[in-house]
Amino acid sequence: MDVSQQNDCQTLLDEIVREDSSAVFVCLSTVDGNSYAHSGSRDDIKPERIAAMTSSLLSLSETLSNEASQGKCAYNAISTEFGSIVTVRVVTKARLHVLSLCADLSTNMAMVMRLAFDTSEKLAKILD
Amino acid sequence: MGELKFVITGTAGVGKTTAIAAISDIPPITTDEATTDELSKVKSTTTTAFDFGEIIIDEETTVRLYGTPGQERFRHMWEIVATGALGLIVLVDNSRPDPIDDLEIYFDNFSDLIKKTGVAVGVTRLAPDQETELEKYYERLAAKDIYCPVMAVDPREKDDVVSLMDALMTFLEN
Repeated sequence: MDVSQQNDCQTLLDEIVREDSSAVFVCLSTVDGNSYAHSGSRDDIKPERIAAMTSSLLSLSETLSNEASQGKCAYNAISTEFGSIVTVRVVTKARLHVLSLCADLSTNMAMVMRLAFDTSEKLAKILD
Repeated sequence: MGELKFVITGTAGVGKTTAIAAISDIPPITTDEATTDELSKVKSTTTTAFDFGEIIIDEETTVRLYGTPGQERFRHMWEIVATGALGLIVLVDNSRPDPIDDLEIYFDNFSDLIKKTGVAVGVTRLAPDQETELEKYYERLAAKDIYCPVMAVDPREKDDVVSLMDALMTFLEN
C-alpha cells in the first residue's frame, strides 16, 4: 500500500465532506471490502462496514449484470428515505477500488451521481 | 418437498466456492472480486456476497446451496444468507494455525441457525494419515455440548461434498 497515495485520497475525501454540506460520508475501499480512505460527518457510520457492504453490493450487481449479458457494472445508485447512496468502481488500470458516496435529502440523485463520478475520476488519477 | 436451502461457511480460501462448483447441477453463481490483502498470497479472488448452486434431487425437490464470504468483515452477508436455511456446513482448513478456533468463530456466529437446525463440519487439507485428528474437533465440540458429523473432505471432489451433505441431512432427520 502506497501511504502517499492513501493520504492524497484521504485529503480529497475530506475536501468533499468539508465543501459539500449534503455529503454524509465518502468511502474509498478495495474491491474485496477493505476500507482505504474515509471521511464523514457522522461518527456512528463505520467505514469498515461500509467498505465490506459496498464490495458485496457491487459484486452482486456485477453478477446480475453478467447474468443479463450486460457486461461489467459501472455503478449502483440507491435512493433512500433520507437521501441517496452511489457506489462507483474507480476505473484505475488495476480496477481494485470502489467509491461509495452518501448524501442527504438537501441534494438530488443526479447531483450525487455527478459528484461520485467526478470524485472517482480524481481518485483514479491519484491511484494510477 | 420443494426447495431446501443449505449454507456453506468457513474461513476464506477453505474451498466453499469450490465445493459448491463441485456439487452444483447448474453453473454456480459467484460474486468474486480480486484480493488486495494478505489473502492475495494464497488466492487471486474472494467471495464478497455469496456463491449459489443447485442440486436437483427429483422433479419436485431442489437443494439450494449458498456459500458465504469467509472474512468476518462480511458478517452482514452471513446474516442475510443464513435466513431460512435448513442446515449449515462449516468447512475448516486443517492446515491453518488454529483450525479449531476458526471453527468456533463460525459456530458462534451461526449459533442461532445451528440451534434451530443442525450443522456438519468438513475438515479440508487433512492427509489420509491424519484422520485421527478429527477426534480433536469432536472433543472441542463435545466440550461445548455440540454433537454433529465431522468428516474429512476434499472440496474439489464431488463425492466428498455429497457425503458431507448426506451426513448433514441424515443428522437433521434423526
